[in-house]
Amino acid sequence: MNERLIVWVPRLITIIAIIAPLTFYYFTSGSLSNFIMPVLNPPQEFISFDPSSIRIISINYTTTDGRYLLNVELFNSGNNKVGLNKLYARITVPSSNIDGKIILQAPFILESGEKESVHILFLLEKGSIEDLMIILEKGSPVNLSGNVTLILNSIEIPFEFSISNFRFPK
Amino acid sequence: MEKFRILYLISGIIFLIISIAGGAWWELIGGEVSKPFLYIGFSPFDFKFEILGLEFLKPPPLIIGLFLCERLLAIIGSITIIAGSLLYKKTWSQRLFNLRPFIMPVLFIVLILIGITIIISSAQQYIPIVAEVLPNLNDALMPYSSQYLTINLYPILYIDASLKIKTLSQFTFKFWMALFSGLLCLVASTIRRKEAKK
Repeated sequence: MNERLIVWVPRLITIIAIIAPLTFYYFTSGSLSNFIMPVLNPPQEFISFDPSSIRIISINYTTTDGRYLLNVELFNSGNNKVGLNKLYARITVPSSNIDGKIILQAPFILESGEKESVHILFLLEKGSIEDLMIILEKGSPVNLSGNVTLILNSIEIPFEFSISNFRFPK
Repeated sequence: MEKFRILYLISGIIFLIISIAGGAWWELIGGEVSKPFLYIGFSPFDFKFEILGLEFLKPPPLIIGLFLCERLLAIIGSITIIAGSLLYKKTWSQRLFNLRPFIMPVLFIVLILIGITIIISSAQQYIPIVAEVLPNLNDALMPYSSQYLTINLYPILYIDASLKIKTLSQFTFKFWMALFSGLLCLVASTIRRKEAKK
């Protein structure tokens, strides 16, 4: 076989392999802007999700063995299915010298327009539970930090968070 | 068959399989590895940016065309290497050898490092909100570096809050196999040159 042919055939194929796909995609894209511009498809869940659509309707508590079990009734006024799989956080209220940990007792999911009672274990380390209830009912700012797994429609998003001067939505 | 041809043959076969298989060489996973809510996968043949399992960014036809070019070049390069190593009785067979399996993974690493350090730094410098919202984006994207992406919510939601999302930035098994194939190819090329000098 001719050696020159052996060298040139792969080179020719290489040139075709570069030109052909670009030419094909250029002519099928319709215009130069379509050819060079990427397409963004932001998920509707993120666009339409409003954290303030989750509202606290009522909070009360029971005491067992020196621990407090908060019973929080929530309402989802948004369009997305929202819930929590895990929640482990520290809550502090600097103005009232309250410090404690909150742990979600069981995962929950709130459908759009649905109410549900959520049980949260509260381990008070400083301050009194009565003061905390007053603060939560007034919507006074608290500091929260910890780990949570958020459920948003069909997906779960685990993350660490830290929020200063957070006011529970009422 | 000479030793270098065996090395070329193995290298060509591995690189051909990698080129045909496609998929990511570098990936960034946000959230749990088994069920990520953020996934970015990149290779010379492919790009994927998914949020919640749905395509967030579709590359333009120009980039899709370039990926196809790269893949065809890799396939052609592998086939010529395989042919060159098998046709050992032909005097012209050595003209078919090339270093594409080595060049591609090396250029890919350079591209990833340049992309992360220069492009992201420039974006953070010229679009200040990127630096404010994602202060450790560089670290989170850099392979085997930070394991968290910090999102500062104040600049976008005016809430004094930050989120830390578990991330994993890594080169995939396909990349390491491509690099292994490239190193075999480089060794084969060195042996071939040494033998030619004798």
